[in-house]
Amino acid sequence: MSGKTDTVPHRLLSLTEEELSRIILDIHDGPVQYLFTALSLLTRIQNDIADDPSKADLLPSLAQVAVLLESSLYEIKFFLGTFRPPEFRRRSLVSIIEGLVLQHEEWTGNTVELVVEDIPHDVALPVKIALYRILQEALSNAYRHAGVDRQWVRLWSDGAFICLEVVDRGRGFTPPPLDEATHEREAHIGLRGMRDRVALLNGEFHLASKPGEGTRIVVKVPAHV
Amino acid sequence: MSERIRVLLADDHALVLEGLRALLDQTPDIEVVATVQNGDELLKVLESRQVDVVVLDLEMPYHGFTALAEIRRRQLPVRVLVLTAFGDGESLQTAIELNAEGFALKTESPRQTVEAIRQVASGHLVYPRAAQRWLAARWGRSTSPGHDLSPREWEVLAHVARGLTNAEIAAALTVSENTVRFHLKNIFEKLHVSNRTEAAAWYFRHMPADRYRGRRL
Repeated sequence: MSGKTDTVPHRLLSLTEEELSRIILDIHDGPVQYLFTALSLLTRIQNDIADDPSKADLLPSLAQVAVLLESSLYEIKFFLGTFRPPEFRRRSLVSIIEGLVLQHEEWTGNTVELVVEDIPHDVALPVKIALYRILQEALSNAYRHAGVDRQWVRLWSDGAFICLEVVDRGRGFTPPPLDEATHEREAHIGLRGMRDRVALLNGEFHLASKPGEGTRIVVKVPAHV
Repeated sequence: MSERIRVLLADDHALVLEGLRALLDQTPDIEVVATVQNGDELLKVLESRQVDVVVLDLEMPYHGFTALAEIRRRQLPVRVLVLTAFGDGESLQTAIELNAEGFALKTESPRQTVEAIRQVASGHLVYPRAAQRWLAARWGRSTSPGHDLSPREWEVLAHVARGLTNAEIAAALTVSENTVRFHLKNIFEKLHVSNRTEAAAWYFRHMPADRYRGRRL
């Protein structure tokens, strides 16, 4: 990385991801292992008494405990997956984006048409982080609000810049004025977050959407900051 | 009578080993032959014990994925089911890149882990639905029949080609006849053939240049 990368805003981007990693690892090493073990032992007990008529009255309660444990794990699964940063340093931008698309498809059942064109391997760390989190937000918004099950993602380079486009043909919306502090709806916070991440890198953020006409987000950031 | 699936559990969380072992010990078709808590131990055990399926936590110290890469590099004849708390895209990518046969989650019911062990043992790739497209993209160009035969399967196939019976092959390899049948079933599936004659014919067409891949029969 160049010396310029080591500015305070850029360090903050990496620091936030590193702090997230630590929180995620604590949850991974604690509650997930306990819950999975508890569920393994419970399953054994359920199997043990399944054929014993004298214990039949216990089965409904045990089944209820199993459902509660499984529900807890299910919720943790999405928390871990959403916030756990990929290995930004080890993986290329393309690999990180592919992993995110795979995850989105698996979790939502949606299809993402991904097109990648000539991306350099040595994209700066803050750029990888920003593009990853922006795409995550854009796909998540499309899934929650657009009402369609297909998105298009294109990643390409333009000179010294990396461009990312995310498109859906869903219900669309009237873009809010993001500069006004009065708009605090969840979706708007997400949009503002995307715009702010791009601004930190001195990039461009374009959002085009109309009711009934889908949504298109285009981001252009320098590959080396 | 079918043979039990020999499973090795590799996880740095002693609790998980205890819980999963308690469940698997109660499962008639599965035998836990060992438990280990790091990748180093895992590779040592695999050198001395016959194992059908390794259930591997990718987050284990002396990393799970380093151990998995080493298992593949040494071409150890074992199938690997990744068992992890992380169901994110990168974990799936890692499992696919390292050619694990299956991917199961600690955030899902242990019953699913047990079923995944059975599926992997019987030669299936066990991955979430969305990963299938990525698996196909990875393997699509190289899925000519037989590309994934293990060294052990090459050995069994070589004996078949020489006309040995299952009992004779079992004696030659000092394994049970059931193990030979198990290998044969997998070989037939991988070669897309239905009997010994077709398998032998395939062998003579594709026999490795070093005849038995450097292994003595």
